[in-house]
Amino acid sequence: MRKIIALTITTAALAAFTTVRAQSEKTSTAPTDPQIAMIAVTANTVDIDVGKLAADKTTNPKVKEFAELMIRDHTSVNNQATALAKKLNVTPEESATSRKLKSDGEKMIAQLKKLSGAEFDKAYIDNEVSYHEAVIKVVTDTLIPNTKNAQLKALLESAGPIFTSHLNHAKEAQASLR
Amino acid sequence: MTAAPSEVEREGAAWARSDVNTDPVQPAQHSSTPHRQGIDYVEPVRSAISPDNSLEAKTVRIVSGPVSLKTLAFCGLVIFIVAFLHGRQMSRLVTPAGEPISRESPSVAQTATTLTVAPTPQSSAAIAGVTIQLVKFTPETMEVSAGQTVEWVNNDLTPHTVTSQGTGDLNSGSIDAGASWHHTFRQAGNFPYYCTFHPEMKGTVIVK
Repeated sequence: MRKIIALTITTAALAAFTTVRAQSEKTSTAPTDPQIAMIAVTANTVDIDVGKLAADKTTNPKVKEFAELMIRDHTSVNNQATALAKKLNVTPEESATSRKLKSDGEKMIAQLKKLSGAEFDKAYIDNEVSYHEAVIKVVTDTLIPNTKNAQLKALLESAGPIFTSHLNHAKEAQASLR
Repeated sequence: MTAAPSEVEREGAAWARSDVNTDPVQPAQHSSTPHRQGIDYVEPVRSAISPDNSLEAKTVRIVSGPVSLKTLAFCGLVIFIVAFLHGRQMSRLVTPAGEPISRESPSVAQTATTLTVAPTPQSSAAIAGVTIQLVKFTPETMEVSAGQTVEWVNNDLTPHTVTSQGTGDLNSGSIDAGASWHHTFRQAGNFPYYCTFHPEMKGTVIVK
């Protein structure tokens, strides 16, 4: 049963970003800068919230270290993004994509709360691997190409190597749990 | 009685304009009133004028009257020009960096000159900079001299650390995005370091 929950969480994470890509491809109108800003902030917030849950529940030092890294880094990225939006006088704007990300994040947390111990650790780390792979793809293929403002584009480009670093960390943690 | 002074004054004026004085009496007149100058000469001169002694009157008027006024005005003009030029000269004093130094702060001018001619040891030991960006230390290898300071500037979106690998005393703690941290290297050697948050980030300071 719990394996099914873990599988569901991973599938939900993948589905969320697959939806982002599908919507971008289907709609003729690309996301605007305010919408891109909100998507970026929401994606960071989802990972911060999941990280807080993991830091609180896990007893595995590697998983705890990773969760704290996610909280620290994504909080900092969000602070930078929010400060930039304020400086540019851009108000982040909700879209179907940001709303979907938020609701999927909430479902993910609800599922993880049902797990504990090694099962929780594995489900959390597996989800982080899938989530970061999806985030990197969306940022690279959808958000950066559609961003008009140079400073917002530069911020997203700077975030790329950070997300790649997180993915590598998550894979190392994943390998240690096997 | 009344025509003579006016005639003398005209002559005096004419002599003054020609700026020529050939009268042998003049030195005697000067030496008799050594402490009086300029317009003060006028009243004694008038008292000495008489219709029968036009030469005396003419001589005195030439020396003490309009010439003194003109000289005074000329001297005043010269003083003014000298003061003006001196003021401009002082205002043109600049620091080596090209910033003007007011004459009210001569000590600043002196200090600036001293720094240029003989730099202090502190100013010659420039701070070496390492930039933290895109999850990298740039440059990854930094060569410095013993006693030199290295500053790490975090231009990345996330916090990072500068922490010694193995034995070493580099321990910055968390350097927030936009913040910086520095360390002075006293001894020669190789000092490898990394970021504890992102261990793939590595760098080395070589102190010679």
